[in-house]
Amino acid sequence: MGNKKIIPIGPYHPLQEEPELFKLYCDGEIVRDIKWETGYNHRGIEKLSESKTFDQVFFLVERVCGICSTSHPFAFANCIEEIANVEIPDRAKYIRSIIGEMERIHSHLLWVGLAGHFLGYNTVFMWVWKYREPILDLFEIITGNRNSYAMFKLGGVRRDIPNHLIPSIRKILAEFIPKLDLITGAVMDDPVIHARTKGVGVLTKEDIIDFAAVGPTARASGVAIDVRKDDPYAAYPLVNWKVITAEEGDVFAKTEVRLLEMYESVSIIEQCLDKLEHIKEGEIDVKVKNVPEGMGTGHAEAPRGEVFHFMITDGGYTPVRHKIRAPSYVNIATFKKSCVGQTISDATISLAAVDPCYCCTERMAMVYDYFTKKPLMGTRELLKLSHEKTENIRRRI
Amino acid sequence: MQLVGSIRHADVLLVSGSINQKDKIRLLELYNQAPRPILVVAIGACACTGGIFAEGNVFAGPVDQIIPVDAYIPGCPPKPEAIIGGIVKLLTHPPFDSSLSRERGGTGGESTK
Amino acid sequence: MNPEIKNIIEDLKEKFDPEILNITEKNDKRVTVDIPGKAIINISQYLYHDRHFRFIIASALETKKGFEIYYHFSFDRTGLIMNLHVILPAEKPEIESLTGSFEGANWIEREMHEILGINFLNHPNLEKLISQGNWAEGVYPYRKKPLS
Repeated sequence: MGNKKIIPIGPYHPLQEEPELFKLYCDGEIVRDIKWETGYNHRGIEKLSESKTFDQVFFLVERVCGICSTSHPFAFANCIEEIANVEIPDRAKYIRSIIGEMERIHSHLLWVGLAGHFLGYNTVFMWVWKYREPILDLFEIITGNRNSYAMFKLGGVRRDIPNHLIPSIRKILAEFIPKLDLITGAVMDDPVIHARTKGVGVLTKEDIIDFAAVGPTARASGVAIDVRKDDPYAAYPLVNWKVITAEEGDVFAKTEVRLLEMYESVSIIEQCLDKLEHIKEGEIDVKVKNVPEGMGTGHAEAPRGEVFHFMITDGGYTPVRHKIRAPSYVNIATFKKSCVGQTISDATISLAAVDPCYCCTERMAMVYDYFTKKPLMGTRELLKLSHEKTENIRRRI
Repeated sequence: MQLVGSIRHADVLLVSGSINQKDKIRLLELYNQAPRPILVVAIGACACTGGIFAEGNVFAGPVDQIIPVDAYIPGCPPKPEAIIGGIVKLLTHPPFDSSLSRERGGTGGESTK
Repeated sequence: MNPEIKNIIEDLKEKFDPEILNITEKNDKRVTVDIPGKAIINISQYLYHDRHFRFIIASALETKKGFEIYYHFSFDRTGLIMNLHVILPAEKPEIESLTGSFEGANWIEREMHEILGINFLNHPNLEKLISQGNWAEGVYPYRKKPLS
């Protein structure tokens, strides 16, 4: 066995918002292998789904994950509307895309804040989360809640965005852009962040394809896949936007992709708002009598990548089988490639770079609370190590 | 209010989310390691009653079936104002049979399963 | 139908003829191919290596016909999702593992094994993924009779 030490991160750890256990097998300072023991968030959602009616399933899948709370209903809506052969009204398409893109913004902001925290930039963390608050307020104005919005239903959306709200939505977004410029500038130009993230946690194009990784994790390595472009749904084919990619595949590239995607999201929302103003208010759903027997696959681009839902129905009121695959399920597995061979202090930011959402992965997952004050246990050493490394680099530069 | 790195430095244990069989073991461990007195708060519908996941096959019971709970903050998810409000209420008016009064010589005994 | 997709389907039929039991083309973007369990490696390798499909995930369930697995592949360029559908006998549900061909299949095969008891032959480590401590050895919660 030699000099191998085992460093556990978890199951409850300050670094992670959700409980799970990583075991890093280290040889001195270098990580040689990683084992991931999971199951702490397993809630049996797929099985639960079989006992719920289709309307109830929307509420269930919304709670797969608190951050990507819209992506699961989005993919599930695509799935069930495929089985029921339903075309939703245009207004519903725009509203769905607006909610989806707002979620992307808030999720990426959350991640940038956490990444800042892992690297020791607590100011970045505090400021980014402060600038995230107006987005959450916007959610509350439109949907009534900061997450778990219950906006989606079979055939459309549950609530309209009244046209008289659109100027205030535009105003909040306009105020957000200069803040985003500030954050992007601060992160992308900082030499210490360059030193901590460039060349760290690299995933090559081949790795991405082998692990079937998706989302910004894949796009940062040059694999330009994005469900919104590949298999367009909702309003995405009706507005102009581009897929953001980077080539290097390291943590810096993943950060860059997420930051630039936020600009695209704001642009998409603004275009959707423009279109909404010209559509009659109120036509936001079609009535669906029943869901026929059949099989459907639906996917959507969540902030972390492709969410995939597969359902088999038999003409009854509940699914026969409902399979959910969250993006983190395939992305987390890439830890084997991106963390092995790194030092322990780099392992943590590499782990965080794929933006793992454990709740989605064990979809049978747990609700993620914003104020996740989960019971904390274990050492803060890893976080400290990461902060120390940043300090050392800062002193040298 | 400060988040601490280890349960041994804590005065309040906040538990959110639904507890499955695996979590139950860890939760009991944490509770046993916690210094007394410790206040336990169950945050969210899942911690209070199991919420939407209560019929799941791995659900291990709402938190108060595992460790004694001093305050419940319902919601799915609870708004930040609700969480703050709940904790302030707990700290300013600890309930009669909470752990605080238990530790100060009240009726001892825990109702863990 | 999109000529490229038509071409892929024709190729499949030609290359793997006796093993293509049925092809259901819902439209350009949703195709399901029924194949016997023993053909899974050849056909999925063809899709993955030759045609550059991406493996999305696999879904398994127990039905009256036995244990059914749908392997979902995506052809991102055109938005096509192709499902390879196999039916395994109820008494002995086993099939070759795809992990040797691409790493993306590793975890889902472990999970299908845990929830339904399907055996994946030559899988590098069929150990528990989500069930350790959550349910007992030999219990397969997604089976109609979990304790069988």
